[in-house]
Amino acid sequence: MKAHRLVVSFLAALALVSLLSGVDAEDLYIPASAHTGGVGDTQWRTDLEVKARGAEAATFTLDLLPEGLDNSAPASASFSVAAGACLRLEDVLASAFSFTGTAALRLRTGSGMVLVASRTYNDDPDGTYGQYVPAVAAGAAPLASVDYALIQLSRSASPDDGYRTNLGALNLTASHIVVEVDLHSATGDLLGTVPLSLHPYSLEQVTDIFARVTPGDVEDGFALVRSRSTGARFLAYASVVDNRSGDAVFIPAQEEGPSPELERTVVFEAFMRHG
Amino acid sequence: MVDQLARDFADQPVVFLEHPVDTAQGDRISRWWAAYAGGGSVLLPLVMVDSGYRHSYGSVAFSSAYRAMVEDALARPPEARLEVARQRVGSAYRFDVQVTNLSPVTLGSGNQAALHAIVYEETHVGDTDRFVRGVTSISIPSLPSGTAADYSMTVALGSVNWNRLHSVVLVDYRPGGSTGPYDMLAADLQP
Repeated sequence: MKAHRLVVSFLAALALVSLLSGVDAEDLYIPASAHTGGVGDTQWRTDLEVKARGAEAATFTLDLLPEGLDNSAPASASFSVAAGACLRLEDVLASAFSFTGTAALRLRTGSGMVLVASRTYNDDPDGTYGQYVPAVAAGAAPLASVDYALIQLSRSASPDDGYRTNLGALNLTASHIVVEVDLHSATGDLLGTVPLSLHPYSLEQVTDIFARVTPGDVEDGFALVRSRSTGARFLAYASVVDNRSGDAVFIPAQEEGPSPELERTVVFEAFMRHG
Repeated sequence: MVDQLARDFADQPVVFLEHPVDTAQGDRISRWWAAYAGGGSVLLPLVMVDSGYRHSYGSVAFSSAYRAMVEDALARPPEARLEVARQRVGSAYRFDVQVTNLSPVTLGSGNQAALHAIVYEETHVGDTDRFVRGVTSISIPSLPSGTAADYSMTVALGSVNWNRLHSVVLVDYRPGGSTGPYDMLAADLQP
């Protein structure tokens, strides 16, 4: 069975769900990849690594899911990996798709088993600063009505000092969903909420997301992300970037607990004549 | 009967309001007519839940019919988040409201989306203990799914007992565009 033939590098804190409505649980997603310039003259690139597992060769397709678009019919590229071998796709967005921008990637195996990893890095002439971005199985991705935490976040009001936090969410379903991002200080105070509207299979990444809710510094903060959209399935991550060096750290989402209920108030109105 | 229902639902997030049909403030009654979608004469009372999600008129098995309407509405999740700050300004209430659209549709002029503030007094003026004293509404020009926006509204109030005033802010729209009933996305009660 195919489900037993995939070995996935994924976020251990996420619960595994085998059957999903409208979602292929075996699809692997790289939630963030880039071929683009960024804040502070950074140049972001992504290398993708795929290893054929065991004694079999593997084939797979890679789907490009550009940020902000309805990706119901994405561009695809096919690859094969010899038995016992690794395939490195350097600067994968440019080399496989001639694409400039930010995107998620979806990997579907055709035959064999694969191990997948990626590195997104600032391609500085003096040396690269990179972050490991794991592949996540759709079946292990966050569900609706559960809160997920992104911790160890930070924000400096100065672009020349401290850190900034970029936060992204990727819709894994064929339906439109809304993801709410509550941004908190370390003491738990709610600084504000940023809603993200996600087209089918679409990524949204917000640069310096704390700037949406405060002009000041957030030395230590966290985000709680959730979706209340029916049947939602998504990935969320943060990338905390050193403003001085461009060095970035990938922060995976960890399950926090059930989302607080958003209570519905019902309004009953009667138009009457006295007596 | 309405007061009895209000007591029965006292521990749940339901607000019961009475409008005087001949001198109703604002245009809330247009929601009822949109839900009714008919013409001619109708018997009172005209009743609606959540801007016309459910409606009724005339003599019905009041208790069971109204209860079913409310329970149907309670079972639905809200599709917007409202953050409301209310402030008294002279003889009026000012409402500053942030609306976050959690629905999959863009709210706007195309579906007649609007934000309403209803102020009521907990006094037996008409037939119930919750008499509407002031209503206002504003149109939502465009609010895409997953976005938030701020709005302000003012409800002028005449001779009222300020100590017994409450209010509810709600956002509604017309799923059919220019026809069919309206539906309410969310409401927020200010005690």
